[in-house]
Amino acid sequence: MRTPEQPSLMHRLRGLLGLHNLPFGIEIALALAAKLLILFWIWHAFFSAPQAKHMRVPADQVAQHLLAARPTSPAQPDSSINSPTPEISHDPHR
Amino acid sequence: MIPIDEVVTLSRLQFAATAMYHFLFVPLTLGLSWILVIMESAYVMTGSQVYKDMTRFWGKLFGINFAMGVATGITLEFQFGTNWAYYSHYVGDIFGTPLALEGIMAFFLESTFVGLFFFGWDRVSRVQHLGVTFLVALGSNLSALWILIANGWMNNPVGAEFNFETMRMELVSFEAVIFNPVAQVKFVHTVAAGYVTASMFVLGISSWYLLKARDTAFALRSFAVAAGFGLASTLSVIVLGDESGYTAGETNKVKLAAIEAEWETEPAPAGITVVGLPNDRTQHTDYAIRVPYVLGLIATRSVDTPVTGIKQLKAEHEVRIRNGMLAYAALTRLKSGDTSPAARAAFDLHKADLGFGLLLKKYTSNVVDATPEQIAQAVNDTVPKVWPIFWAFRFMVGLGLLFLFIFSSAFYFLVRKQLSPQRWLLRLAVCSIPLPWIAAELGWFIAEYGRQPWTISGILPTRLSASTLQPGNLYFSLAGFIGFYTFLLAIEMTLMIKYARRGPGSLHLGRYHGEDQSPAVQPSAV
Repeated sequence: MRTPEQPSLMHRLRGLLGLHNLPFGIEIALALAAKLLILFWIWHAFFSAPQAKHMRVPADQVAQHLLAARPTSPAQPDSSINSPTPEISHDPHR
Repeated sequence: MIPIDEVVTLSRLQFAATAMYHFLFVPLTLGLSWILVIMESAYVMTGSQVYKDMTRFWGKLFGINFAMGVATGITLEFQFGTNWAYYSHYVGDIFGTPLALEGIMAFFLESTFVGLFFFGWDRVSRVQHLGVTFLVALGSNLSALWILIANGWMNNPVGAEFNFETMRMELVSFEAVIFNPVAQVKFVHTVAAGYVTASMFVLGISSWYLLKARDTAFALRSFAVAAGFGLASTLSVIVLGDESGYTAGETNKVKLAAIEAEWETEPAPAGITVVGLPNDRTQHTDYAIRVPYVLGLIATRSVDTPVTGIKQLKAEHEVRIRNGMLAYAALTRLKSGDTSPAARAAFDLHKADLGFGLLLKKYTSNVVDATPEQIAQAVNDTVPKVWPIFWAFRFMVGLGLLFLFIFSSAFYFLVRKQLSPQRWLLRLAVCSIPLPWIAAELGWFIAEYGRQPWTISGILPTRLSASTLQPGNLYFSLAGFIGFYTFLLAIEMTLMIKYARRGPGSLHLGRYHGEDQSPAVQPSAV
């Protein structure tokens, strides 16, 4: 149990990092910078190679997906994160 | 073989989690911006310093929320291209304009004027600054308009035609998309819910100051603005929610029937099930407590128009699925190269039901030869599970009524100048701060889950909208998103609690709680 005199873990951590009494604007700027960095990392790690670039997929591929007599999702062994199927990476528009 | 159902479920979960996190930030921005306009208008009209302090203090909390919330929606657009490739292709021609306009509103109008709002106090006149605050509010609300136009189109896809050559929906009437009744109702209902959220936020924090007997003049005025704006907004939400139900009765009968667990088509005007236990297996609501006539009056605004029940809707959907099989056969013929007038005419005859035919892809790769059992399975899929929507709706409405009680009581006791003895009301307002967020999230759940099994209602099944991905990829990105948004939420909560606890003293003006009562020191820029 923490006594009233003892600062909380978060309080001590902030003190250790020198984040106490930062001006409001600096706090917001730091949070925004961290957010932008994480957003960029998420985009780079998971979403930088979208299957539909500029909201378009080749019409033949869509027709194959919707109309093919075989199962709609062929197996695509894929080691990269959220990478497109090989068929799409040969799209000349990319 | 890629497990399609797992990929679709994970993609849905990821989109839902991201959208719901994003919407934790949005409603406060929508509503607090107008509350700032009201406070600053009072300052401009009266010249009273306390209104300027209110605008600056609540503006500071607005700034925290804006900074944490801005660009959190962009991750949804990342997901369109990566996780929902076929959906993106289908809607690309329709979504492009509203999303671009939203970007312009958000970045050029909203963000620019947010900067001026914070840094312009000593650089522009009072009236000009009020204009800036007004434009911040207008920009954030117009951003919401464009997003809700896009979302409204998913629920009621008007003004577009399917082109078999490009295999996508193409815009034929931008006017129809803009003035889509579902989009209009959704917009006003959603922004009004944002106003309620912000009002409860200001009311709750002001109540906390009043309970602590600190900064009472400041807190009372803030409380008054929140009570008045909140009461008007709650009444708007209720009226516009009713309008939303009426629109759903006209454009999305399945969603309405599922919300009300209306299994049978009753003679008009239909009664409403207030509470009960909907059973999807038996298609019956156990222990139902019903009130006669009410649903018919709300949903149809008439005494002689029936509300179509789920069983009748399923029978209609079976007809559409069989027509969809013909459309599917005709499209296959066209795509195989036979573009003769006869082939086009065959497709045009049934293309409105192509989406229903595509529902069969879940059960057979050979849609044109689907068995009666497979058709029956697809028919069952056309209605979402009833009990989650039924209960989500009732919780949302219950919360709405609670908000009406809180804001009415707050307004009443304020006008009677009897607020101080009502400590129960002040405590209730503090405890109710998170509730509008819960109500808003429930509303989104009803809207989006109630649209299933479609991403574009009646046009494109959710199952065929998702990209061909490996589930492992989605688990990784889902974990990344949850970590990211939890981090943002933790920062938001930390900063909000920190500055709400400091109160207007955080402005360093030398006249509020926790400050030396010396002459005002130089306030910080923000």
